Amino acid sequence: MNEFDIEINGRSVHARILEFKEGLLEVEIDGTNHHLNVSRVEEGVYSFILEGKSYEFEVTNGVRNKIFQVSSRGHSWEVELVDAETRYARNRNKGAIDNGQNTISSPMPGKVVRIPVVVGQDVKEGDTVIIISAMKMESEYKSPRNATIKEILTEEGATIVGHQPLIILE
Amino acid sequence: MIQKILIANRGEIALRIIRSCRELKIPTVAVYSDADRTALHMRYADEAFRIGPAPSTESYLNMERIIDVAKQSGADAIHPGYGFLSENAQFSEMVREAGLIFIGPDAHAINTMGDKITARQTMIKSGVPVVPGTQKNLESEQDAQKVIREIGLPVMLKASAGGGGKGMRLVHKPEELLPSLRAARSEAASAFGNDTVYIEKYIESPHHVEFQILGDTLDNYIHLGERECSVQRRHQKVVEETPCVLMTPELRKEMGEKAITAARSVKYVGAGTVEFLVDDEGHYYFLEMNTRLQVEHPVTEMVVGLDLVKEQIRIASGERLSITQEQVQQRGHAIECRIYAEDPDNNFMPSPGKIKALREPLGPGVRVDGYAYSGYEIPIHYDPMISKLVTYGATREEAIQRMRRALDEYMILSVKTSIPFLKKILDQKDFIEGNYNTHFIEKHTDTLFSATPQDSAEMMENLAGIAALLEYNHLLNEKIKASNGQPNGNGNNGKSGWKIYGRKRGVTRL
Repeated sequence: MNEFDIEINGRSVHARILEFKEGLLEVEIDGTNHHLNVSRVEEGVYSFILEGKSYEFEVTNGVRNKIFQVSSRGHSWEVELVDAETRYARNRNKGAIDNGQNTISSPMPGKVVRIPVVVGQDVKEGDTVIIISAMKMESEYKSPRNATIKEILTEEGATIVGHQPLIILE
Repeated sequence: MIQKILIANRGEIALRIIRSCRELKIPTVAVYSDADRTALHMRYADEAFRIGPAPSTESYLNMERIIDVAKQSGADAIHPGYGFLSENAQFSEMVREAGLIFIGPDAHAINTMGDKITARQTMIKSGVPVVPGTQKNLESEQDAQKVIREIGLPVMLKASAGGGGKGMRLVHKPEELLPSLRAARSEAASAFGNDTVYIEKYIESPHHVEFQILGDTLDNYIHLGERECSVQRRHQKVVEETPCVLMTPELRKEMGEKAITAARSVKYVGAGTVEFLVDDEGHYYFLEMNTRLQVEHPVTEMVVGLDLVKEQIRIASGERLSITQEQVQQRGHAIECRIYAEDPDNNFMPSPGKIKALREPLGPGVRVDGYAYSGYEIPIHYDPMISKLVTYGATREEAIQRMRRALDEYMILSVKTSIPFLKKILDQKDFIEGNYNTHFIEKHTDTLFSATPQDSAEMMENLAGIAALLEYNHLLNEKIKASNGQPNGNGNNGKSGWKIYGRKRGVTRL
């Protein structure tokens, strides 16, 4: 942990940790040095003192383990830590065919209420392919384009987790 | 007086009821499903009994089981809270037949008011104004088409057994009628087990204003003023306040009396709410009566200084209301925001999950009725409401200022909540000026649903980046510590933790 790129809401900064001991952090950000008084005051909560000003940041893990959601007094940012592994993964994914358009998934955990399609069936853009219920709310997931149902990876009544692939289109 | 109360509910309302019981030194019995073994209501009560698996049909709606638990635990009364069995006439009856006290109205009142069609007919007979529409169940799709030819569009389709916006559809165009009717029916069937739907004329620019009433067994009735609940999204209340900006003392007196007339017409006993639609000219129409304690009851408690749960318990014990109509006074202003586990940036998708850290707002004029805690996992099976944030001020302006401050203080980590959306509502000029009706959210879609503006200084962004980096490093160290703490052979294959640490560091290359 001494030199890295950080992407904050898409803007990239270069940071270098010069020293970090006893709660005092000396960091160089895009060529400028800063002295920060740092304390992890609660689970995922950081208190910073910088030139007499008090800041507080709340950090939670995003979907993937190097993407974080950071918030402070009503503001929030998506922060991605870019390391060699991330760069490699990005290059490898360039030109990949599946850009998410072929997989139907739900961002939330829940229960499968109904799957009104079968494998091999042709569906039109906007056709409902699966209905998920969570917290008394039913959400219909629709096909993003005209396609054929290639695979159904779950069943009615099943409990699912967030981002789990449910239906594959062809 | 009642000796011991079973609370047939969960979440914030169960906790809220237990709190009042504790103040009265009445022992409490909680019931819980398998999904709620860690829920605060069961931890907080004096006794707790498992009533079944996670789905509410097998637990919180299991009437026989709940009554059995009441008998087994020696409770002499059951408080149903809101939702679940609170407006179930059969349950009210079963509780009485079991020789227990139901803290709520009897089956007759619930049946009459719970069935929206019967309620309308009863109101017409009692001289309370109602919205034009059918007074009967729609028998067929042809029937529905005939009714809209008679009363004209737009119309609202409503589930007869409904509530909470379920089974409701607004129809503007003739071709929307049949799809909306089918959708309303199927939603009503799955939510209430009854697909009866009726039609009402839709009032343009309506305000949703409701009156809190109390009635005791000695035929005393009072109203505790109004609540303005016009900030709604998909017919779900989002922000409520009292007093209502529209209200004049004359209109309040008149509507309050009509609300009491409505309650008296069914010999209502307990706390109830009479909902009205009010247009800009002050015309008002009876909408429905909710025969339970409402979610938004705290705003009334704040301005009239009465604990409604305690009043319910007094009434159920056969005692007289603690105050008369002349003693009811509204002081100051109160606002409630409902905090939901929903992602406002993602079409309000429910967002269940584990709360990593929680800090609730405190300080002058702030009340939080919630049930979550740090480390609590919000289950997928129930309502997404986490808490109700209520602020009180000497004036409406102060209540708004406090609400903004409290929303800023509220920290719920790792679960998406409606807090950013609520902040935007509180910053909206029309809301601040009190110039809004039930179309408020629709009218301000552009500002309310836009991504949160990011005008933050570059330095703040950089610090946010550093916070993320420190957290990543922290998590990495925790993981390493955890694998280091295990004895040989348990995943480490005898390697030293420091070797693993070094290797992970090498690979991570941040």
